[in-house]
Amino acid sequence: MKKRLSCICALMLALALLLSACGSPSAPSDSGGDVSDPSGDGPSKVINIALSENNLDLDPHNTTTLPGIATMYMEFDTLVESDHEGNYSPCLATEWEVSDDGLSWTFKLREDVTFHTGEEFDSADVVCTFQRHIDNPVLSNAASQWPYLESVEALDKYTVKITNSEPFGCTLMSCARTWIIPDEAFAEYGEELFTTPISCGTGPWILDEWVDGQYTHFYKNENYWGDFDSYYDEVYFRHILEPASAITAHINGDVQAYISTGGISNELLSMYDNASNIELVTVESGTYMYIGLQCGEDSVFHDQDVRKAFELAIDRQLCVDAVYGGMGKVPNGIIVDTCMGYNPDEPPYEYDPELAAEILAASSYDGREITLSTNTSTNKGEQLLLVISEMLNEVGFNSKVENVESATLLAMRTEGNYDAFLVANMHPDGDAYFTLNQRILNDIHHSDFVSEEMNNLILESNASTDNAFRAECFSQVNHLIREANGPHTAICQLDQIEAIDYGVTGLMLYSDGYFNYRWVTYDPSLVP
Amino acid sequence: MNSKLIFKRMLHSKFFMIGFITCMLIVIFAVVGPSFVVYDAEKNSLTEQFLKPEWLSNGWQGHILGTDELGRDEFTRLVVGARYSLAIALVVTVCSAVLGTILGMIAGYLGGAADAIIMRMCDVFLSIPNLILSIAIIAVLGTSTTNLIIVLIISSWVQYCKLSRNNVLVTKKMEFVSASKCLGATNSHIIFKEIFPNITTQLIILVSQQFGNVILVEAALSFMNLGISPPTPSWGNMIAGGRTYLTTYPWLCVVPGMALMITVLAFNFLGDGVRDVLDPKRT
Amino acid sequence: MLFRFIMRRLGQTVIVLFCVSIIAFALVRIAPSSPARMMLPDTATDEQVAAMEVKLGLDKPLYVQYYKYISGIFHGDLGTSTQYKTDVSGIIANRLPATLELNAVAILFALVIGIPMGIVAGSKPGSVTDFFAVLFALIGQSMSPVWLALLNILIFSSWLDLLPSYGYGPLVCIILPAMTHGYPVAAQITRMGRSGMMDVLREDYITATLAKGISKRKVYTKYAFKNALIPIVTMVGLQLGIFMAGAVVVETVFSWPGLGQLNFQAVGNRDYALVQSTLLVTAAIIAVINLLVDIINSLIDPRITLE
Repeated sequence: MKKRLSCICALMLALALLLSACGSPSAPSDSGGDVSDPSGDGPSKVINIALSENNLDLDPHNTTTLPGIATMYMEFDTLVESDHEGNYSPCLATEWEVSDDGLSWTFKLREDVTFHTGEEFDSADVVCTFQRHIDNPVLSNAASQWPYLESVEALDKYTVKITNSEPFGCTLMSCARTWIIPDEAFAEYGEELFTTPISCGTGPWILDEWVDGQYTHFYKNENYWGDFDSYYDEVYFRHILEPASAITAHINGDVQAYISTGGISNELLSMYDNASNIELVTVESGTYMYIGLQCGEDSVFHDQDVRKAFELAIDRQLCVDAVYGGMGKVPNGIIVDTCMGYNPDEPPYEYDPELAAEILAASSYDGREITLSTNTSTNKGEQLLLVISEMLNEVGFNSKVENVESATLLAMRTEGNYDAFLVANMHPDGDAYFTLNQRILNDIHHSDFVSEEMNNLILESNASTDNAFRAECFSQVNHLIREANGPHTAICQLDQIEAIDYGVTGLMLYSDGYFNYRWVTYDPSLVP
Repeated sequence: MNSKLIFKRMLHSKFFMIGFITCMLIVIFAVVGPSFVVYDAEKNSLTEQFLKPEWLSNGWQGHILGTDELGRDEFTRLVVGARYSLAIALVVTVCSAVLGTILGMIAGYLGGAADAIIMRMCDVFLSIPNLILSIAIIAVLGTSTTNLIIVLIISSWVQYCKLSRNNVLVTKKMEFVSASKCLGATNSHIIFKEIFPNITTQLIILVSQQFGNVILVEAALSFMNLGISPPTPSWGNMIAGGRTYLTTYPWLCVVPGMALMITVLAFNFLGDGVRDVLDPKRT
Repeated sequence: MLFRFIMRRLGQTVIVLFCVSIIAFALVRIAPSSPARMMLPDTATDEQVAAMEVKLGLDKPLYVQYYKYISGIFHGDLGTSTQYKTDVSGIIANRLPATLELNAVAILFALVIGIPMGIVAGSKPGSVTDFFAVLFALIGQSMSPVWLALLNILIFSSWLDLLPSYGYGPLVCIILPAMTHGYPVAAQITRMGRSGMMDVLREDYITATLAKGISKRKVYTKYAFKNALIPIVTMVGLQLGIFMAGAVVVETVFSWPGLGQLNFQAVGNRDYALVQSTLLVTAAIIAVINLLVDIINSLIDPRITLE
């Protein structure tokens, strides 16, 4: 029996060792870090960028996570390139024009581009890309960017025409977010093209491998058509979800940049105090936090006086200072200063608790309990709401805070099953088109707030491709929202702080919250 | 076992005495403490964020353990949080012990189909990871203290069920049970009057050991944002909240974690002590 | 007899897995929101969501969806993940090694630390060594895993800069997560080893052997130690399943690419197929391990019959 026992013990140990042995892949030799390049005096030719989220999906027309979008920027090109402030420059298209009725857009394409697959780029690829959107309207990109896409046709080998069913002022913006895929490869592989490790874009980086939960790896496209040659040969995205871990890794030199969605929490910044080789980059972001109010018949916020008291009761500057360490500012409405149609003359939000208490006392508010909801992925949403809730209760509201899963809040919002919710929002490319259409005109979050005047303004702006006119409409809508004290009330606009090693440049952190790392390179002159 | 003997054993068991005294102190602290604290556990004080622990340099009026991200006094939250954490653990332990024991006794005594069904239920619950089950249940029911308690009960009744079933199986075969059967006693009489008293020792031991465990699970749930909703403090959500500031304001995470550890440690001591006292094998 | 036992246990396992599949199927569907909503942008209209539901087959009655899922399993098809848009089996296969590795190393750590400590403590109850071993064990069972994980990062990674707090691949990366995950088990093993040793040493045959004049050292290592191991093996085996499932917190804090983290993320995204399958796979692993433990136990100790 003794023999048997020791046999079994040995067996179990062996099993455990075996498991751990087969579980551990050979250590990757990609640690990079501050290991010097043997041939020169610069740092390693491999850069590691830590990201705070996982990649989930590498379909260029379906990915919604920030790392996914960043991956697409590396691998693919679009027809036009956006500076995310409303200006567009040529990319795969060299020039374009819009028809007089504002429906058709004609693009002239570059002639010297090849895909990573070896296929040549021409109008068939553009047709394939847009046809996929038309055929498959539930693709995330089709649903979010192309509400009116009707047809696409190749006029010749290097000219395409894209037609919308309604005039669509954001066509260029949507083009700048629609990555062009190769038609032959797509015909051969179908949807599988994006689940197999085939790099199929035309971009400056070739996707080598994505290992779920760990990293995404790219190497340089030596045949890139554009005028760009990075110092780096390889790029790794490291998906590190725990901020303290990521910062520790950065300080220890395992990664050269840490880009956190929504910015690094201000309380953690002091960890970087002694890291003299790392620069904290502040992005004046257009991301703003707003509270959406339920204005339906049965809701307390149906009464404008209650909404007004709500608005007056909140000390927004204190919110920015106390919750976000002063790293942000108070906007004067949901059309923030990075957005087309921002009006600096719009009066700022007032804070007047006495007046708020007075108005509330005279209003129809019956002391009912109001739940302020936010979700766990909103940057410090819970803290912000706790601060706001206390301010509200001081003027006579009876409010409590609830922090739910993102999926749950989404369901609550689409059913209109809430009193007030706090989320962050941004205007892609500084254009309020999507926010106003979806959240006000179509009221997808069921605030049940109806203003014919606002809706008409939005419809007018939709029908135009003249940006000056559209900006004026946005500005007026913002003013109307302010006058009606709802359905949205902006709380604060946040700065985003990211940490990048000195010398690393070309990490584009746009004010609309998008990140693009395709131009990453190293410039020794930037090292202090 | 008479009560005199037990009392004597209690006095002699180091584990029991240390555990018992510490537990009593903690319970008193949690019950009485909240009426003596100077600050409001839920009220923000935005000018006093992240104050370092002052210990007793300002006496009991100061921020003994510093303040948190919204300027709330950490010591006050610790005291108030203790009450919530302990109360939840108490309710959960009692409810799951009652539920588990009844099911276990039914399974063990009746055998056959009832036994098979209840035992498979246990297997099913043991096969689904606690946290995942809790995440799903909370997503369905929503976050509230009642739901948290339900989730904790669901994830801890199995232990009691298995224990009492196995004990009943042993006891059932004893002569005195057969004797009462012959005398025409009803099933419920036999289960509750004859068998139950014979498994209480094991149950008490398990209860005292599980109590600490419940506190730990509650902390894990809070970490996943599934615990008590803010601003009400519990040790679990204090640890979870302090997690962000771990490297910069470590006391926000270390202090509640330490309190939690000491408490669970005390209950583990008590659990071991109770076993020493009640388990005749140990003498 | 062994064959009959295994067949019966397999039958029970199938029933349990069936129930788990129903619970997993139901729970994730009752939860608010749907994968269709989670896949589309935040601002998708109701029509778009409805179209997506049709595409995913979620408009069909529940029993049809369940039947499709179950019949798929028998064909080796675990469904398609809505967040990854690929086969669930592939995703799980990618993540499983990490979970197995973490658990194996953690158990190994627990055995290597726990057994010697328990044995030494148990052979000299009341000594200073014993006191520290018991303290080590009780503390291990009293720490919240979340807290222990954070504390480990704070001390070993941030202050001392000794060990990495994230990463997968290089062996050094596994030390912190495995230590964190294994400590409570090490504590349990220490306690069991200690009490096992104390029990064994009280047995008559040990006294007899000692009386025969065989050296104390030999008696302890040769007889007592081996008998004290039996309950440890049983316990480790029985807890292995629960232990594996409990890795969610450790995997999250250390960014460890295992099943627990995947499952948490899948629930958050309402990825029905992935949630169902990860739960089922975990349950199956637990069942197989329990079966193995029962068989091994009966081999170790002939007194334990397979009933």
